Amino acid sequence: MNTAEQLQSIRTSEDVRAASVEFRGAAQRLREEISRVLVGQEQTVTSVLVALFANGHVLLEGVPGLGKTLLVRTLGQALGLGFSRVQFTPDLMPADIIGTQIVMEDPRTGQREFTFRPGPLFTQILLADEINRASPKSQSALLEAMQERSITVGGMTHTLKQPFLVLATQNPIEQEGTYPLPEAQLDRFLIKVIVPPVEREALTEIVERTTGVPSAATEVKPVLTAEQIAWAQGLARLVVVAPHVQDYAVRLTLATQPGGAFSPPECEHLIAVGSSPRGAQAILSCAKVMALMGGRTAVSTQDIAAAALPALRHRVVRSFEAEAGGMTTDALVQQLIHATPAELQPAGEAA
Amino acid sequence: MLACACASKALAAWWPGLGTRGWWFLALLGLAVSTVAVLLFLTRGRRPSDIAVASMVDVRLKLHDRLSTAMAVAGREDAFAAAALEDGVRVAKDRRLTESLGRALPVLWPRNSWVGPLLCVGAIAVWWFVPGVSPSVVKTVFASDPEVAAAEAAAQMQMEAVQQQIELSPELAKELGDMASNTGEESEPRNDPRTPEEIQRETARRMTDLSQKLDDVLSSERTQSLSAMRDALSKIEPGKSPEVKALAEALKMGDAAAAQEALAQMMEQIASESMDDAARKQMAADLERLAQQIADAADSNEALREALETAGMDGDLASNTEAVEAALAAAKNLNAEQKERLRKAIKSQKSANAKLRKLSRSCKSACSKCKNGGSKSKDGSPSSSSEDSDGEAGEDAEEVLDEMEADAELENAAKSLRSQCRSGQCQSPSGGGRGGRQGGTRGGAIAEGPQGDGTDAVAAEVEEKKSQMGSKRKGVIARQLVDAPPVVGESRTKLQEIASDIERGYEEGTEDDPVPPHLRDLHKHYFGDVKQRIDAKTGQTAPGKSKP
Repeated sequence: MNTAEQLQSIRTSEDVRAASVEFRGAAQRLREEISRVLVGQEQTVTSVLVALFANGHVLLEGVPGLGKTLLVRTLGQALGLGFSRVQFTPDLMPADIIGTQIVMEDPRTGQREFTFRPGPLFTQILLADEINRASPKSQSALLEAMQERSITVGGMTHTLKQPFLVLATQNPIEQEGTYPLPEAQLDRFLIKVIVPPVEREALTEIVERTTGVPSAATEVKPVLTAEQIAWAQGLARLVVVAPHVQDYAVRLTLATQPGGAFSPPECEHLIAVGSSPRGAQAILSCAKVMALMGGRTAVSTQDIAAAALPALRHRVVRSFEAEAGGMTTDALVQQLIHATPAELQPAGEAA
Repeated sequence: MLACACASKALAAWWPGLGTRGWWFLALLGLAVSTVAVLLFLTRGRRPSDIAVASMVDVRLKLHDRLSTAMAVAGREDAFAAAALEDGVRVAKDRRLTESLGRALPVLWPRNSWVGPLLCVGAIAVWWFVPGVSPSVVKTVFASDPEVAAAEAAAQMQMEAVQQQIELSPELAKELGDMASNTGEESEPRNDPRTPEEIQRETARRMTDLSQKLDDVLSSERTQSLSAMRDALSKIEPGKSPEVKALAEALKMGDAAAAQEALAQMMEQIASESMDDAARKQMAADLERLAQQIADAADSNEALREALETAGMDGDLASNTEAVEAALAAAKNLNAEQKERLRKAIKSQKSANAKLRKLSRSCKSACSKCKNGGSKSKDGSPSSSSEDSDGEAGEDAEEVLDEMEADAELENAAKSLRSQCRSGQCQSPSGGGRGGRQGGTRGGAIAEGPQGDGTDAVAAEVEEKKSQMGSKRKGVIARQLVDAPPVVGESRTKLQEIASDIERGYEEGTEDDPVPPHLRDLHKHYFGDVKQRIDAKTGQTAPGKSKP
């Protein structure tokens, strides 16, 4: 039974509850497997799993040494999917990522012809390390792959294997010689995860694990197959969203539009550019996964509010006034969430 | 409710005929409830929906929107919707939810919600404990205004004076009927407050009504008949006999009372034996001539003739009333009012002629008695037949003269009262209460004292005049008893009633036409007929009527 048939077999509420339990179990197994290697960073791991089950890409931002690369590599190992890592540097070319046409000679006939040699992008989990260090030309090589899950080279379109997940990392410091991601590129990421510094207990365990004798317990085994991930992603799309809950996500997204009907007056002057409709899509996709991971079969406004910050923080451009005032994007989005009421609002009434 | 209570109390007090105050209270309470219902109906769109309420409960109790989602997806049939619905039902059935609901959603009264019950208590208190406002109390309050009181007193005094004047003449009171009683006092008490100007206008209106009725009396058949008799008797020649001469002169002057005295003396003289034969013959001749003159006057129809000629008709028609009726029916140049006036003149003339003939017959009867020597029998005692004839002659003449005297009294009283009414219309009755000049010597006496004393003085004076009239049988003409400032303000007299007077006065004041406005039609008809007659006589045609 393939994934679609498995999803169609869910017909009763009991089936839904069983599927929900299975989903939570899969997520829990994946979390436990990652935690065997990665110490701490539970929230970061959860966010990455949410993006995985929501079939979206993740932009990880944090200072060096917090385990971003380790997290992605471990995730790739735990999923049993194809994994590639691309270290973005200023001299990285798009062909280095996508692949290139090379001339191949047939040994029997001696005839030469162009043959496409896939790049590291032809994988299922791509780690784009320090993505902001590559030139915009190279960064834009990811656009089609991230949005369409396909690559067009030499007039031929190559479909990527599913699931396809891009996990990019970037360093918020050392901005010299970097190329900040353009808005169009940022918009392709489902969520942006801020990797926090490790805490005391986590750091102690990290030190103990990495300075001692390596143990076999740190080896990661695949716990989910591609089919199971596809099933989980399909299940997440079936989660119910009530109209007023969906309206909350829409109002939150519209609240980021300066001068809009739902923009809070106190935030209007702090925003230069608001979120695109992809912001609302990202909120709802993440909220559905969060609801399933929370053991619920319907999205709540709490899920929406929780998904709003990672889904909107890279889609909102602060105004000069906000930047000059030292207001971070996270604080700005938090203010928007606080100013937008979660209760049902009459149609046409401003928040 | 407070407003309803106050309004219903006021309405119940001012308009008691509409029902009890309880009925009003219930009606207004129903109105208030209906208003609230309408307001609720109009604001029904603003009430939050059930899902909105559920969403608010979800947010307050952190239920992850289970209740609102269950309500929203209740109509869907997919498995996840069914699971969400079951999840919501399970949460809703949880007892802990109902317990925490009260804490999460406490019932909070609006900040000024105490105002509503307070107003309700106030309304009930006003309704049950505040005494109703009586119209009489309000009337007393308004009447306490000295100017209003003075105006009412003056108006009452004026109306009482008119009433007294009417009571002086029984004939006039009889003619006016119950109108006289209505002019004395107000027909019904008025509850609404009035100003002095309104009181003056009301008094002036009553005076106008009475004056119009007096005009009707003066143009009635009785007074016109009296006028016709006077016109007819004004041309008789007194005889040589002193008794007949006195009678004839009294008749010529139209003095019925003097004529009665002269008649009584003459009949006594006839019946006496002291008169010699020469004097008796002279008296008989004078009486015969007087009877003939009265009969000729009756036949002359002078008053009717004059009326016909005034109306532009042939005066010779007066001798034949049937011909006059036929001429009136055929007359096209007379309007209905003129015809009615002429018909009334015909009736008056007939009545006058009947009385004159009756008087003439009495004179003839007296003449024959005088010729018979005082109706003495041969043995010197009066014969029974002569006595009867004497009695009939005296009674007929006395009857005619009594009627004549009564008519004269009626005419004098009506003229006097009309003059008083017209003068009263132009003067404010409030002046009497302020000590102003009341007109004549009587008015001065009234004005000197207080209002009550002034009214008493008028009554005493009227009583005195009554006693004088009763002793001397003379008609008392009450003169202007009330003098006051002119009435100002809005007139209540119908415009159509005074429109002709206004028009006439305007034309008389602005045009130089020597012919008075009310005679212009007659003037036009008369000279129009003359011109037609002249044209017919000379065979000429008017230039405008000549045929091409």
